[in-house]
Amino acid sequence: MSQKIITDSLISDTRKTQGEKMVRGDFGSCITKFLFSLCLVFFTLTVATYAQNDVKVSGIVVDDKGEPLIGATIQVRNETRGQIVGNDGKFEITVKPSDELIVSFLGYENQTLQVGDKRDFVVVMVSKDSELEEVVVAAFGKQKKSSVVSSIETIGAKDLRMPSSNLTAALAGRAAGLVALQKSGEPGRDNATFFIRGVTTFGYATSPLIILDGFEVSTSTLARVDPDNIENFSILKDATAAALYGSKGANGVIEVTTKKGREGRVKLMFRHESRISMPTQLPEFVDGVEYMKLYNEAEYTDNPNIGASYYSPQKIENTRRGLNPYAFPDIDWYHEMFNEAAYNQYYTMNLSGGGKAVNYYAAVSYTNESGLLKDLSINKYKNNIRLNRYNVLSNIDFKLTNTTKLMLNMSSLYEKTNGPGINPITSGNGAGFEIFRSVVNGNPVDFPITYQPDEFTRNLGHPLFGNSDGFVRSNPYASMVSGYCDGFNFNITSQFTLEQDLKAIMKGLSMKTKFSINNSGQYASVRSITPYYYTMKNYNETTGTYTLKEVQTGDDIISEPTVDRTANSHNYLESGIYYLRTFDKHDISAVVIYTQEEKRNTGSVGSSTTLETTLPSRNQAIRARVTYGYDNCYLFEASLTRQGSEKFYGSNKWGTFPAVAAGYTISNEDFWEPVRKAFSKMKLKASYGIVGNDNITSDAQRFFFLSRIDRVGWGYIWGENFNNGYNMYDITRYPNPDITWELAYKQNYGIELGVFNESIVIQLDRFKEKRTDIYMQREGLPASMGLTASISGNSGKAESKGWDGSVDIKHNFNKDFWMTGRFNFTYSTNKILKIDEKQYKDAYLSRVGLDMDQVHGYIAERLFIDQPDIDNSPLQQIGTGIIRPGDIKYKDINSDGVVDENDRVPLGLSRTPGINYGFGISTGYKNFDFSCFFQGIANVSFYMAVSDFAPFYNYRNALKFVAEDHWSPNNPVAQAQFPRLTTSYNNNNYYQYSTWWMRNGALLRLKTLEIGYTIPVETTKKIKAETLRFYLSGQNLFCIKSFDLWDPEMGSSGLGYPLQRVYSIGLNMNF
Amino acid sequence: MKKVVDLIIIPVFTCLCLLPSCDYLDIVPDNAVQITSIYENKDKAYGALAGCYSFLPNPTYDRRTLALAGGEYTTIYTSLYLNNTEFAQGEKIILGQNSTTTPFFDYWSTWHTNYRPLYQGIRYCNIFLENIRSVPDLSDVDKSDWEAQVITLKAYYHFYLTMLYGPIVIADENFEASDPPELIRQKRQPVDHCFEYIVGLLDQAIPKLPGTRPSVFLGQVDKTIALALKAKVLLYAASPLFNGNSEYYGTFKDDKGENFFNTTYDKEKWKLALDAANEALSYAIDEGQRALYYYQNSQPYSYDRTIWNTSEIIKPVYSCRLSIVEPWTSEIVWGYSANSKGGTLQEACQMRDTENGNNGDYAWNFLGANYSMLEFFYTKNGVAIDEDRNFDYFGRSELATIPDDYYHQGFMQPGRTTIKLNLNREPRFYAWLAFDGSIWRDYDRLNYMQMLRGEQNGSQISSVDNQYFAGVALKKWVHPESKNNMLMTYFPGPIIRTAELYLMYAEASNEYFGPNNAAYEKLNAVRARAGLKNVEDVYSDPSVVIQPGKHLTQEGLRSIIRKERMIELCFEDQRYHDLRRWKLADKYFVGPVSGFNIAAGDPANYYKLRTLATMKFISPRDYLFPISTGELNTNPNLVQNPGW
Repeated sequence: MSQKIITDSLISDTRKTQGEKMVRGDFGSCITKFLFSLCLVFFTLTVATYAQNDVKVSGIVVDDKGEPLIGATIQVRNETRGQIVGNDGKFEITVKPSDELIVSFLGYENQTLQVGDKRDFVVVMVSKDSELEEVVVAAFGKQKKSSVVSSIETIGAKDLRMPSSNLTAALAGRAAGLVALQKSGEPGRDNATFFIRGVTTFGYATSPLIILDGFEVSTSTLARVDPDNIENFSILKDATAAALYGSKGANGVIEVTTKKGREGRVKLMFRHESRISMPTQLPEFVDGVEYMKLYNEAEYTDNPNIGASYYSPQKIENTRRGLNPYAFPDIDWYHEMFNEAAYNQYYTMNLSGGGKAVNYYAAVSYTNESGLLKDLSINKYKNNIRLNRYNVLSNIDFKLTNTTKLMLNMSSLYEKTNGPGINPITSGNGAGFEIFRSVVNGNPVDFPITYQPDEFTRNLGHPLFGNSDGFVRSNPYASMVSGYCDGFNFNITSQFTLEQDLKAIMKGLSMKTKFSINNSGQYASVRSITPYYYTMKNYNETTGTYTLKEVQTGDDIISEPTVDRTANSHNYLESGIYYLRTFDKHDISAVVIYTQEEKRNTGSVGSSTTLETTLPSRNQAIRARVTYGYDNCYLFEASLTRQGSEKFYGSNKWGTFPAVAAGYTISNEDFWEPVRKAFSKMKLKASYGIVGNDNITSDAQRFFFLSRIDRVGWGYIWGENFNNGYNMYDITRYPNPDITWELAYKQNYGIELGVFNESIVIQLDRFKEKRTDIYMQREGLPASMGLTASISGNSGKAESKGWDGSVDIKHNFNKDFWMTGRFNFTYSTNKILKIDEKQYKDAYLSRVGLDMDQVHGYIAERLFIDQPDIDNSPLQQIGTGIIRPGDIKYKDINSDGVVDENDRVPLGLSRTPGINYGFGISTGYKNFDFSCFFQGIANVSFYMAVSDFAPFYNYRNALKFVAEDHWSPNNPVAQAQFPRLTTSYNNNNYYQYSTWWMRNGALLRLKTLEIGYTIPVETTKKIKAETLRFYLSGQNLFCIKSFDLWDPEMGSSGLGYPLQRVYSIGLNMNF
Repeated sequence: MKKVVDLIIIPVFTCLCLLPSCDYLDIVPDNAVQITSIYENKDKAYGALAGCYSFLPNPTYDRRTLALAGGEYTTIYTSLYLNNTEFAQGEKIILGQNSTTTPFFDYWSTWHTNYRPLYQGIRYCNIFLENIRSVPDLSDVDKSDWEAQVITLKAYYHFYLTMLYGPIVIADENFEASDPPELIRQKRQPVDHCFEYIVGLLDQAIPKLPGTRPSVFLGQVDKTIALALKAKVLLYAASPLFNGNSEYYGTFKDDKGENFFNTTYDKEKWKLALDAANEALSYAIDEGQRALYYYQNSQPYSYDRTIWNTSEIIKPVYSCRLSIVEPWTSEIVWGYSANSKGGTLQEACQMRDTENGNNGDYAWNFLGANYSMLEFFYTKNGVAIDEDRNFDYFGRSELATIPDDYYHQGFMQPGRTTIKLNLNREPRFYAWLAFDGSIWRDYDRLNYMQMLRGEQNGSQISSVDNQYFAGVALKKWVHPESKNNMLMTYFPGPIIRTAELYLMYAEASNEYFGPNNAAYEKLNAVRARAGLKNVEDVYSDPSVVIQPGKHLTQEGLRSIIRKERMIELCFEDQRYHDLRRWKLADKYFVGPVSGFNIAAGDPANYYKLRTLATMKFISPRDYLFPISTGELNTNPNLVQNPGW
C-alpha cells in the first residue's frame, strides 16, 4: 500500500523538471514521515520486548521514477555483510543503530543511510548521469543554469510532441522569443517558417541557425526529427549565446540535442499514434446556377453592349432543374476530388541503457501520412499524396579509458513519397497545392468530369474527360489523375566525437574533436498520360442523346518517367580545448575551438550549372570564450569569434565578432535573506555583442568580387541571307569586392525571478538589436546610366527591439492532483533605419522608419458608383486599363490629380506578427492527465491575394462571399465587399496592395488538447511494463479570429492546401 | 595503459587542428571574364559589335511593335488581349491607356520582352568605343569603320529617345555607380541641344563609313544610312513639334528656368533638313545603290501571266508589294536584319491556309488594318476619295457588284458583292490591303478572299482571338511567295527606305521654298512608282479634282506631301511619329476605331460599320511619352513631360 502511494507520486514527478523535484521531495518526505510515524508506533509496540543491540530495518530501493531497483546492493559500511534487493525492491537487514548502510547500483550514485532510530527506509537512487542541477545547452557545450548570463530558452521535449509529423509545426507559441507560422497543411510541405525575436533584418536570410547535436541542419531536417528522441530543445537568443556561431548566429540559434544512453538497465519505450486529419477550414464556392448568373453579370459589367450572354437562360434553367448531368453539369470539384479526412499513423520505439564501458540510445520510428486526395480507380496508379518516413537514430558512447570517451551519433532518414504527377523537386509549390488551386480555378458548369460514351466512343478504353470547345482548359480532375510521381528522400548523418580529459597535464583541462558528415538527396520521377478531352455536340433535349467531339487527342499509354534528383553533402570538423576549474568560490572556464565546414548543394538536374552554384560554400573559424563566476553570484562571460567565409574578398573575408555578458544573482547575497522566503531567486543579467552574417544572398549570387559576363544568344544578324550572326555578351554582374558581412549588434537585459520556493518562475528579457551593413540592391541608380545589372551594397540598417518573457507555475493540491501552467510571449517591433531607396519627393514613400515587413499600398476609399463619379475623381493611373464603375477608387495622397505609385502609403501593421504568445496548462488527477495549449498571434496584417481567387478570369470558380456582396450594375453600392465582377484580368485596379484587401491576421488557436490515462501500476506490472498510458489528442481544434474566409495563419494566399486539424489516439509504453 | 592512450590521442588532436590549410576559403578559380577579354580578338569583338546593334528597335515585331500606335492597325479586340500588357501596347497608347506607372514602350528605363532600354544600348556603345582600339588583329580601317558604325548607332538611340520623349539625358560617356550623385543624376537637355549632339555624332561617323556593304554584311551601317539618318534627324528638328513650339511647351522649363523647347520658329532649320535630304538622296542613288525599286522581271508569278499585259495596275502593284518584302531590294536604305522570317509581323498578318484546314502555323491571322485605312488611300486618279470628282464619296458604303474589267482584273473577284469604296482605288490599295472580295497572292495560287461569317476567311467561332477584327487584312508585310506552315521568305524590316528620302526632300523643300519644281519632282517619283500621275497634272485638272490648284500653295502642297507620306509609309512605324511632329496627332487620334461587322454572314449586314474602340489623345500630354514614375523617383533631377 505504502509503496503504491510513493510510486504514484513519483510517477507524476517525472513530468516535472528537476528543480521541481525538490518540492516533490519534500512532499515525498511528508509521506515518508507519515509512514515512519506509523512504523514507529508499530515498532514501539513490537520492539519494546527486544533487547537493545541489533535491530531489524527494512526498506525499498527505487529509481527516480519510483520503480523498484531489483538487484541493488545493501552493504553495511566497513563490513562484508549485505544483501541484494529482491524482486519487489524490498530489503530487510539486521544491523546496529550505529551502522551506516551503503546502497549501490550500477549507473546510480551510491547512497549512505544512517540507521539511527529509523527502521524503514525509502531509498530513491539518483542516476549518475542525471545532473543534480538543471543544465542549459549553450553554444559548443552545456552550462549550469545558475551560471547562465545569456538569454537561452528551453522547450520541454514533451511540449514538442504533437499529433503532427512535422516538428516545426509544434513550435508556435511554445517559447518566449520564438515566432513560428505554418502556411500549408500539405504532407511534406508543412514546415513552419520561424524567426527568433521576430524578423530583424531585411536582408537575404532571416531564419535562425539550427544546430542538431552540434551540427548545422536545415529546417526540413529539423521538421523530420522524431520528438521522442529529443533531449533538449534550446533557443539561443542574444549575442553571447550566439556569438560563438559567428557568421551564422545573427538571426538566433536553435540547439537541439538527442537523447543519450545512461548507465543502467535496459529501458524500452514504445509509442503508437493513429491520427485523423482534416482541413481546419474550406473555402465555399457558389453552385453552378449561381455561377452562370454571375458570369453573365461579369460579362455585362465589362461590356454592356455584349448582346447575348455566355450562358443562355435555357442552360441556366436546365441546370437548375438538374436535367442531363452531361449536358448541364454542375460539378463540385472539391468533393469529387478530395476526401473528408485522411488517416495517418506513427510508431516509434527506443531503447537505451548502458554499462561501464558503453552507453547507448537507439531509436526507430515510422510515420505514414497521406493527403486528402481521392485515389480514383479511373487510372491504374495511385496519385494521392503519401509519405512513408523511417527514422533511425543511434547514439553510442564508449568509455575507452577513464579519461577518453568516444561518441558515435548516427541518424538516418528515409522518406518514400507518392503524389500526383507534379515533380516535387522542381515545382515551387507542392503537388497538393497545385491540385487544390486547380479546384479553385475550375469551372463548375462548362463540362462534366467525364462523359458517358456516345455510339462512336463506346469501345474506347480511355476515360472521356470533359473539356470545352476551342481552347483546352484545365479539367482539375483530369489533371489530378493524369499522372503520378514517386520518389524518395534520404538524409544520413554520422558524427564522431572524441573527448579526452587532460588532467594529466593540468587539472580541469580537456580536449574534444568532432567530425560530422551529412549526405542527403532527393529523387522523383513523374509518369503521366495525356488525357483525351471531349466536348459535347448535337445534344438532343428530348432523347437526351448527344455525340462527342474530341478536342484534345490524348495518349493513354503512360509515359516514360521524367526524372529529377538532387544531392547534397555537408561536412564539419570541430576541435577544441576546454578548461573548467573551481577554486573555492571562483568558477573559471575557458574554451578555444577551431571549426571548418563545407557544404555543397546541387539543385535539381540541369539547374545548377553556374560557377556560383557548383562550388562548395565553406567557412572556417577560431572561437574562444572565457567565463568567470564568483560564489554563483557575480558572473562574467566574454567570447570572441574570428570567422572566414568564402564569399568575400581580401580583408573582408574574415570577420571578428566579440560579445560580453554579466550576471548578478542577487538572491545569493546575504542581504537577500529577509525576502528569500517569498523571492527564492532573483538574477539580473545583461549582454552585448556583435554577430555577423555571411548568408546575405543566394548561392548563385555570391562571390561578389567577380564580375559576370555571359555570352548570350544572337546579338545581331547581318547578311543577305540573314545568317551572319554573332553572339553578344551581356554584363550580368558588376564586380564589387567591398561587399562584406552583415552585422548584428545585440543587447539583452534580463531578469529571472523565482517566487515561493520557485513554484512560480518569471523570466523577462528586454532585447535590442541593430543591424548594419545589410546587403541590398542600390535603388538610386537612374536608368539613364544604362547599367545592365543591378548593383548592390552593404547599405541597409535596421533596428529591432522588444520584450519576451514567460511565467511558469507549478502547484500540487494534494498527492493526487497536480497542475502546471505556462505563459510566454514575444513582443517585438522593428524599424528600418537606412535603406538604399529612390529619391522620393514625398516622405511617406520612404521605407525608413517603417517595419521591415510592412507594405506600401493604396488607400481604397470606396467603389466607383458610375462614370460621372470616375470623371470627377482623380485619374486612376496605377497601371494600364480602363477604369469602370465598380472599380476601387484609390485616394490621391499627394493631390496631384493622378493616383499612381507615388500615392502609396505605409499600410497597416507588419505582415509578420509583432505579438506571439502561448499559454497552457497541464494537470493530473490520479491516473488521469489533461493538458491544453493555446497559441496566438497579434499585431499582424495580411492582404488577401485577390489575384488568386478573383472569379471568372479564365472561367475560374467563384467564392460564395463574392456572390453575396459585390458591386453590380443593379446594385451600384460604394461599399460592397467585392468590386465589380469581370471576366478579365483586372490587375491594375484591384490586384494591388491596398486597404481594400488588408485584413487583421490576429488569431488565438487551441493548438493542442490532450487527455491521458495511465493504467495503474498493478495492472501494467502483469505485462512487465513500467508504465502504460493511453491518450487522446487534438491539434488545431478551434481558432478565434476576425477573418473568416480561410485560416489567417496562411496569410495572403489562403487558397492553398489547407492547414489540418488532427485528432489522434495514442499509446505509450515504457519497459 | 592510460598514458598510452593519452599519448596516442593528443597527437591525433594536434593533427586534426593542423589540418586546415590557409587557402581553404579560396575556392573561386581565377578565370572570370573581364570586359577587356571581349576585345582580345576580332572574332570576339564581332560579338561586341553585334551587341551594339542588338538594341535596335525591331520595326517588324508582330503585335508588339510600336507601329501599332499609328492608328493603322487593328489587333485583337477581346478582353483577354486588351488587358494583357504584353500585346498591342502601341494600340493602347492611342486608346488613351498610357500611364506614368508602367508606361508603354518605355525605351527609357524598362527591360521588356517587346523592347529594350536604349540607355543600356548607349552604354554598350560607349564601352565598345572605349575598347575597340585595343583589338590586336583588327585593321585600322576596320577599327575606324566599326567605330563609325557604333557612333551612328549611338546617335540613332539618342534620336529614337528624342523622337519619343523630346528632351532627353545625353549619355555621351558612361558613369559608374561609385561616381558622385550629381554626375549620376543627369538632367534632361533642351531638344535643340539633343539634335545638335546627334547630328554631331553623325558628322563624326559619316566620313569614315563606306557607301555600301558586301552582301554578308548587309544590315550594317554604311554612309548612305548615316546620311539618311542625318536627314531624318534634321527633318524632325525642323518640324513643328520641335521647332518653335511655344504653343505646347512655352512653360516647359528645367529647374533653372530654361526652356526645354525653343519657342521661336526658325525657318533655317528646314534648309538644314533640305540640304541633308538632298545629300542623302543623291548619295543614295549615285553611290549607295539605293534607287526606288521597280519590279524588273519580265515574268510575273505563274498565276499572273495571263493578265500581265492586260491588267492596268499589275505592274505598279508588283513594284509596291515587292519593294519591301523582296529581300534587300534597292528600296531598303537601312534594314533591320536580325529577323528570321522577315519579322514576326509577317506571321501575324499572314492569312491562315484555308486549303489545309485553317492551318495556323506561321499564319496567325490576327493583325490587320482598320477601316479608316480603306478610306485613306487615293482613288485611281491619285487623289483623296473626298477630293475626286469621279468618286462617289457619299455613296462609298453602298453595295456594288465587282465589275469584270481590266482595272480590277486579278485584284477583285468579278461578280461578288462589295461596297463602292473598294472599287477604283490606287494600285497600292490593292497591293497592300486585303478584304472581302479581293484577291491575295499566296505562294502558288490566288486566294479569293471571302470574309463573311462562316466563309473560308471569315471569323471563326472556335478561335475567337485569331481573326481580322475589322475585316481588313494586311498584305504589305507578307511576301507573295511565303506560305504558312512551310516556306517563309525572309526580308529585312525597313528602318529607312528610299521613298522616304524623296518624301523628306519634298517636305523640306516645300517648307523652305514653298511649292517648287524640285519638290514636285521628288513627290512624282514616289507617285510614279505607285502608278499615279504627276501631282501638278492631277491637281490642276478640273475633271479630276473638285477644287483644282491645291498644289500651288505651300499649305496645299504640304497636305499633299503629308498624305503621300502617310500612304506610302503606312504601317511602317512612321505615322505615329509623323503626326506628332506635325502637331496633328490630336486631330487624327480621336474618334472611333471602326471595322466591318465580321459577325454577319450577309453583305448588307457585314458592311455595316461597327465601333471597335475609341481613340483618345490628350493634347499636349500625349505628344511626348511619359518618363516612368519609378525613374523620376530615382533621379530627382528629371522633369516630367507636360501633362503627365
